[in-house]
Amino acid sequence: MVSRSKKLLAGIMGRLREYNNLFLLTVSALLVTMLVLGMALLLYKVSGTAQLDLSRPGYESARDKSESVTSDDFSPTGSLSDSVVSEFNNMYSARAQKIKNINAFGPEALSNDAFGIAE
Amino acid sequence: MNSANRKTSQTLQTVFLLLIAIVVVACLLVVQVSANDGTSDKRKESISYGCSTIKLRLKQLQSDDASVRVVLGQNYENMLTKLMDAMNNRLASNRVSSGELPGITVEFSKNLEYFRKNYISYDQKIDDLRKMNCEKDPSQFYEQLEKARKLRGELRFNYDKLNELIGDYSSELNSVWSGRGESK
Repeated sequence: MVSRSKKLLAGIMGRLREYNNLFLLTVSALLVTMLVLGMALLLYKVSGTAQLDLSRPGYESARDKSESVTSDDFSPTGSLSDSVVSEFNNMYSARAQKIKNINAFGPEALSNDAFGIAE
Repeated sequence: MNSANRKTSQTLQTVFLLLIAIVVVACLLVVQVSANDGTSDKRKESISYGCSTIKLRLKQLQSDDASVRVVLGQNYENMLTKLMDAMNNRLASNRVSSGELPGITVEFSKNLEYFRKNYISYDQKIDDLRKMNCEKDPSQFYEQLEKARKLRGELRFNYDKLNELIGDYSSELNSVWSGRGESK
């Protein structure tokens, strides 16, 4: 009777050990996944990528407004002449003017008037 | 007599220390009270009642700023790599003295990095503002709004500085090119 119950207990413990290993494996895999995911999200936020990601919910109007910026084509190699420098100046001025026209981050947008806050 | 004098001086010292402690506590209380009174009642009321409108405007502003940030970033990147760096390399490969151009380019790159970092701080502040309950705590909301204004001001400073450097590069290039022509 005692030896039978001992055998049964040993069997149960053996089974538990197997399930335990599987359970530990599953939990470890989940923990590692969560850790890596957490690091990825942290990097996404801290690196500034989040601020540039217009695919986020709530940024539909930003996606509509943002235009694709054409790239300038000035070769870093080749000869130099008055015409080449003049061509460069034209490209440069056009780009500089585009930047000036944006007139970014003026104070009015966060003023009391903009939010209807009393003085 | 001596012990009496000693007792008297000890008592005086204790009283003096107590007086100092009272004055310090009173000063701290005054500062605390004046800090709490930074936002007027009228302003607190307008923030409380207009909280949902303010939140909507903040949301719209954040979206607009994101769009501006992306377009500006692309333009600045283009300016730096496709134009400034390209011209600097071309001048060097043609053995033309580039004067202050490399220095201005480095300064531009440095300020561009400041701009990027400042934008992250600013955007996070706007995020914090959006999460606040301006209806229940308008004073705290206004305090954070002031901080957001300061951060936006820094962004504007970065933008103006970058524009100034763009102008400097152009002037220096013309000076370098015309100077090279004169030395011929």
